[in-house]
Amino acid sequence: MFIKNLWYVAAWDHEVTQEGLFSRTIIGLPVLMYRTQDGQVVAMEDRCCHRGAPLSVGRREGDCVRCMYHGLKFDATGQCTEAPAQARIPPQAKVRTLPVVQRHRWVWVWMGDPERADPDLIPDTQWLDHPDWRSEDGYIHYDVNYLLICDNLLDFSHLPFVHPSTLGGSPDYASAPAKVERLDNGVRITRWAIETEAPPFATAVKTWSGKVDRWNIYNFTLPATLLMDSGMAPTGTGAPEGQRVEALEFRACQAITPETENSTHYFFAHPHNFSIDQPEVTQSIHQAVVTAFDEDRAIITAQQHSLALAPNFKMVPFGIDAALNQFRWVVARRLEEEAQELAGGQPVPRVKA
Amino acid sequence: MELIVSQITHEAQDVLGLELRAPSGEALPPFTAGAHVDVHLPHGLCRQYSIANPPEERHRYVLGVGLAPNSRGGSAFIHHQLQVGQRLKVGAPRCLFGLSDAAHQHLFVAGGIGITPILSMMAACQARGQPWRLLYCVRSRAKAAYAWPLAQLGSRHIHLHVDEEAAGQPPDLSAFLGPAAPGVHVYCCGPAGLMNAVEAAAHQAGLAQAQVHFERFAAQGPVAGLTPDRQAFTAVLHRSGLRVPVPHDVSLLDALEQHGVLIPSACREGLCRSCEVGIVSGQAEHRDHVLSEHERLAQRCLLPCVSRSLSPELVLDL
Repeated sequence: MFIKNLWYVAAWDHEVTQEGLFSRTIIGLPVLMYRTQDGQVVAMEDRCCHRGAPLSVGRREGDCVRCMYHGLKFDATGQCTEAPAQARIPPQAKVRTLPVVQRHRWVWVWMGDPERADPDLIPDTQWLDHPDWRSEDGYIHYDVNYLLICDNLLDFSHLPFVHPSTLGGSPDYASAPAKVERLDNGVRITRWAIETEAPPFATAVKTWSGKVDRWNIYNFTLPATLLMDSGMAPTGTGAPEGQRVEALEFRACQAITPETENSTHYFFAHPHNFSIDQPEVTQSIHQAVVTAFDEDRAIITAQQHSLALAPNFKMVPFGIDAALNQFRWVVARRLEEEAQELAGGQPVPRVKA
Repeated sequence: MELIVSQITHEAQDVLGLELRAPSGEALPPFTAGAHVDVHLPHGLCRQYSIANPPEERHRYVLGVGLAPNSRGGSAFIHHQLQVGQRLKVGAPRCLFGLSDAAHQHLFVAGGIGITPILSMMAACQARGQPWRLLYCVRSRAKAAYAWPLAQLGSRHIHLHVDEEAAGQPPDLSAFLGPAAPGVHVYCCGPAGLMNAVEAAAHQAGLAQAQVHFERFAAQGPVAGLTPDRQAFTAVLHRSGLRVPVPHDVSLLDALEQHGVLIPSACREGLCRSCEVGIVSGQAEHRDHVLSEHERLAQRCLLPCVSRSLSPELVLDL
């Protein structure tokens, strides 16, 4: 079960080209994406309305796509415009198109009611193409349910344990409690580790003479988007008070898009605003993040295998689970609301907590 | 009171019968059919178990204890460690589920270990000479506890539904309940799914709410940390001005939800910190496992799933 009425990141902009056909399954729906000659992104169900063959193995013909099973041709609005051996095309012969917006390097598709697809709901990821920031494009694929990845991102106390040689730092990082605030569509997390070791990925790009104060401040919002202000500055220079002196700053942008119940797309970048004329710095940071995310994927995939063997396993929660449980609660409420709307009922009135 | 475990019987797969008597052999405090007692177990655990024997029996309480899957110590302790001759601290019997005096016909629906209070209630029906019928739902025959006393009560009043043998078909509740009639009362104790189904079927049959009674299964294994000495209080919502009375047997979180105030929650056992709420004024009685000592003393937040109030009013940042 996935929430439908949301914008989901479906691709990096460069993945969708003017020549080719690009397909990616988003919350269970195969989505075909391509660019028309004027550069606009088209997104439609990657399934011919005739017999269900994927259109992505078809052929581009100008701004149209031809299904290479029985030769039906569809225009960029999804309408069938040509069928062999039949002059009158029924208007029902239409492939569902999806609202699609390209913004700051990400291609977002709206999976719900097109009438409600408001582009203003797309979160601001300006750091992905801001001239003062640099990052490399990241994508990895997971064979787990997306909520296990959300769990991981909603509790950074795993950093020193899963990522000792990349993002981790000293074990004291894990004991710094995170502040969790509830948002309508997710949670906001503020975590400060004062007088801690600079993590390996930061020592690789800057020399630190002593301990640092490290912050991770992020919104984690539906469907599963992480936008983070993070960084570190030498202890005693006043970072907790708002003075960022000799600091390294990052603005991580991460989008977790469910593919199926048990597989997930993970789009990410780790923009930085220092040494932006040194591509090797950008590359070093990116590589550390990629290595770290491989570490996450290893433990989370192992966790999924373990959980699959014990469907009745009952987790024992700890206080560090507050944010992830609150996020799962928001997901559950939104799913419930959509189910009620589908059933024709009104959403449950509630006093906002 | 302190009672002696005088007998432990194997009633079915994963179901033990526990017979408790007074050490002196004297009569125990009386109980009504459908009552339960608090049983205090090691490590501060307190669990409620229904009494299975007829209320005329004053010399003993017989409790039915199912082994809860994922038990954190309550039923697992009783099943694996408790021995005859041991003493247990037991609270006085309390009844929230008895036979209705307005009824002249009683329909019982029991699911699994939910048979325990109903056994006692059926015996009370026999004593009153009132007609009754039972629908007893079990996963397998091996898990059907109290088959022998049930057989003695007469099989023509009893319908057994065995999940394993029903090819996935749920019990036919509307056929069992029949059309609504004045004086017919329905009593159900079992898993939440069964109770919800009975609630729906009774409503569909046209039975009034007052004619349908439930023993919520939570009474068989209440959340850790909730002990019976809970006091009623009023939660005052600082931002909305709402006043929410919290009865002694309802958690603050449940009371808030019943008043439409929805707070994220997950474990509802004081473990995960998801439902944390700020305190504006008043003294919280902390019963969770996650707040630090400092946070407890600071009285600036609490976990409403288990924690309560020491003051008559607790003003919350909601």
